[in-house]
Amino acid sequence: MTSTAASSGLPDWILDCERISKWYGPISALTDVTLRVGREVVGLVGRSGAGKSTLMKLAVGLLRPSQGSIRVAGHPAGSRGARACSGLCPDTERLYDALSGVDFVAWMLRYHGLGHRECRERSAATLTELGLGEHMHRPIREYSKGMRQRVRLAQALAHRPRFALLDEPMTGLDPLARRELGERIRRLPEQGVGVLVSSHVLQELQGLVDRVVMLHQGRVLAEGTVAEIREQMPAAPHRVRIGAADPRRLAAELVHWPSVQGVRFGDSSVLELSVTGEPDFYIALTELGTRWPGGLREITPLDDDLASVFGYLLG
Amino acid sequence: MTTKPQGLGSLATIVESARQTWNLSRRDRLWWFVAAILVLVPALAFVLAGRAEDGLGGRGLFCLMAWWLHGTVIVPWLTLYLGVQAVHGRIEDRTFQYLFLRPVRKVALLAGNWIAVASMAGGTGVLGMGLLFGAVALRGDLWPDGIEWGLAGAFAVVAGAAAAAYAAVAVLFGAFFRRPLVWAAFFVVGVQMLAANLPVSAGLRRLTITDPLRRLLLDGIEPDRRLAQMLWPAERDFRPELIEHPLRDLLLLGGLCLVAAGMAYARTEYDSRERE
Amino acid sequence: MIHDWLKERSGRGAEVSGWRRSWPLAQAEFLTLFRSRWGVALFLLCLFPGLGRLVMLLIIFGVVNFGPVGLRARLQNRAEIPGLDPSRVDFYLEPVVSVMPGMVFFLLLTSLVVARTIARDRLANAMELYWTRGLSPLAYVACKWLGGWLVVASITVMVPLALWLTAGFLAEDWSLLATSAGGMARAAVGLVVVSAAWTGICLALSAICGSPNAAMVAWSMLLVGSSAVGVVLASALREPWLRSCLSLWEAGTVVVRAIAGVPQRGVSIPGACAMLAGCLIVTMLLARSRLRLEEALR
Repeated sequence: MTSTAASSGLPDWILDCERISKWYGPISALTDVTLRVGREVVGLVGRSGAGKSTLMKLAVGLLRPSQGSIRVAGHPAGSRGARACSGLCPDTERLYDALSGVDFVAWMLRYHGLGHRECRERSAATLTELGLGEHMHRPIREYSKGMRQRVRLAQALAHRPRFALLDEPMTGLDPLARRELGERIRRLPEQGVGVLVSSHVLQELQGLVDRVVMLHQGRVLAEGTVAEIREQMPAAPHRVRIGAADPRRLAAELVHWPSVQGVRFGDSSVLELSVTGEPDFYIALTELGTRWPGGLREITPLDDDLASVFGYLLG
Repeated sequence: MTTKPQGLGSLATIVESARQTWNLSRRDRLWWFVAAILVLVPALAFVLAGRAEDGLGGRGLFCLMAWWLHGTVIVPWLTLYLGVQAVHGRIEDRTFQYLFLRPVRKVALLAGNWIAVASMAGGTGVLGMGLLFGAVALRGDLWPDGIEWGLAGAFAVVAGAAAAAYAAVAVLFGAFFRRPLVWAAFFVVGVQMLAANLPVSAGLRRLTITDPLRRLLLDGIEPDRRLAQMLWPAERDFRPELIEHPLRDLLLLGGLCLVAAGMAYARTEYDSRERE
Repeated sequence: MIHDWLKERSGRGAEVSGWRRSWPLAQAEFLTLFRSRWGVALFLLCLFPGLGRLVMLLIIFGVVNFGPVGLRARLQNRAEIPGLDPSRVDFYLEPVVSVMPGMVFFLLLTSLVVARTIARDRLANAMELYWTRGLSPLAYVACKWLGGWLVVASITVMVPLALWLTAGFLAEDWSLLATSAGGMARAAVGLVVVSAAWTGICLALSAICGSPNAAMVAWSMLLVGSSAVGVVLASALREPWLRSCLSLWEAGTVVVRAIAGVPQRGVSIPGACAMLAGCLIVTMLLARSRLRLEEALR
């Protein structure tokens, strides 16, 4: 990723936050956060009040950092250059309710220096792509929550930004629309776009992001792919579900392994293990599977998903 | 290496912002109310013309109604409302986020708001004065020396100047305060009313909009002592040399308000938790 | 298959009286002003006319020797300026019923507290929260009115009463309290009635208008605009009493003075009553049509 960027003469990172802090009087909203986003999808997770929205607003220049620097595509955040190549889907509910969806997006596009005709065409194309083609000429006040969310997304993406910040983009969308939007977001890095996306629904981010940044009380708690972060938590035993023909005998076998911390019986043919020293355990388990009568029907890690990792980190 | 910034130039942004503000403001339900008043005031003038006391005449009736109804109520409050809605309305409902992300100067957005508000309110004021003058002019018996068309012109200038100045105050309050209309009420009813009761030479009067408007009208319509006191009850010792330069004073006040508004609008973090 | 689990809820919840359900809303409304520094500052600002009168009282009764000698002498010679005689009711009424500064501070206070209240709830879709939790639209409006009126009354009713009591304690004997008690009681009733009506009209406008800003402007235009219409018609027709029938503020002050028994010239008391009642009824009827349940849930 970065090497491609460097060879094309563009900055390595589309978003480059260097040790930023933001204080509101005595309250610290963000403390010493360093974050970089290239042509990838980065998930921003954290509890309410962790500083996700503050970080996004700093990145687009709606707020100024108390300390540190932020650059977007090489421009200082908030400068005209940075705003020209950023798109934000905010968490705000309101739009210009009297306008139609296509007019609203076209109005916003006008400020990017496009002609009236091009604005309308691009607005219509973006809304159609987001599944609002049929309703885009109706006033926004008649829209459902999901339709409003598509308009917010359209205004963030219609000017083809190099960096998109999506604050809770799936809010109000039905499952089918969530899947379609997820696919669209996944394709953005192929077009050279860096994406920073936040969501409270961690399962949604799981398949969507290349890596995550976990914020807690205004600080970065962890950063990397889910697997990378999980690996760095040896104190938290992994939970693995194993399905086999004779689970009681299998349990009696496994309980003597040094890496197995505990065994729990699920339904008739399933075991749940607590495990440390994960790579060695899996090698040994694969070997056991080859000689076990009837083989092992299922080996499923239960807690290497984003939600579990997040839960472990926050205790 | 950085990419070349895209975006509208400042002049084009002002025009676009004005166009958008115009388009949004014209959909407000308040216009039905304004339209009703614009029709009712001339109707009232027409009825009053038949019953007004003898010495008042068409000149006095028009000036009295134009100043007290349009000059002190409709134009100021309509302008302040439109200005505050255009600037602060978007801050309050957070739709400013969509605008502030665009690669344009915030000051240009604000200037566009001011132009739209001043033109809408000024146009409404001029139309209101015109309709009122038309209604009074229909009663030929009230104009023994012929209809004074110059009165309509003088009040139209006052309506336009008032709208521009009040719009500047409105955008300043909208950009600066969390409850701008309370401050607007304080300015219009508190400060201006207090200043109106001070001697005509008092310096505080320079900080108001009504006083330059008063001097502009005194210059434009040259009222007799009685009419002047009907329009401005505190008007006792009027002397022509006290008129000075009302338009310059309005320009100065409006300009200062616009500069302060631009600075506040460009620098304030409207999304900050400190404002919440 | 029909799941009729609703029938299983045989037990009734704890009985909560209508008043206990309503009072928190009124209380919250009252306290809104005091939750921000600006609100507290505005409230203190509104106390200024009363504080001015208090200083006058202290000078009149010789507690402090303050200001130019001539002014002190004039104030202490009560008979010289009838409006500044602490034994008369209008001395205490004047800070709240005069156009300047009474109307100015009243307008600021009501614009900030009452005019925004229902319009703000409508904008935030908060009305349905109240109306689906055992508060009827009528109770909701009543609570909002009570909370707003308590704020308004803390200036318009409490300030004159506090000044009068202070004067009573500062006077040489109890004769001041004894002679003016009847008039002050009537004045207090008048202030309660009129401030309640003004608050009601302002609240109704808040219910009629679509946004807090529109409600604030509508209320300001009604208060200032009706005064302007009164001035125009009274001047054009040379009928000064028309002001008391056409200006909402003048009408209220005329009613207060009439109830308090303060002599008035060039006013129409029936006209003032009709203006006040007419405005209240018309705005309430308009508000009622805007506050139907369907409106809240739209």
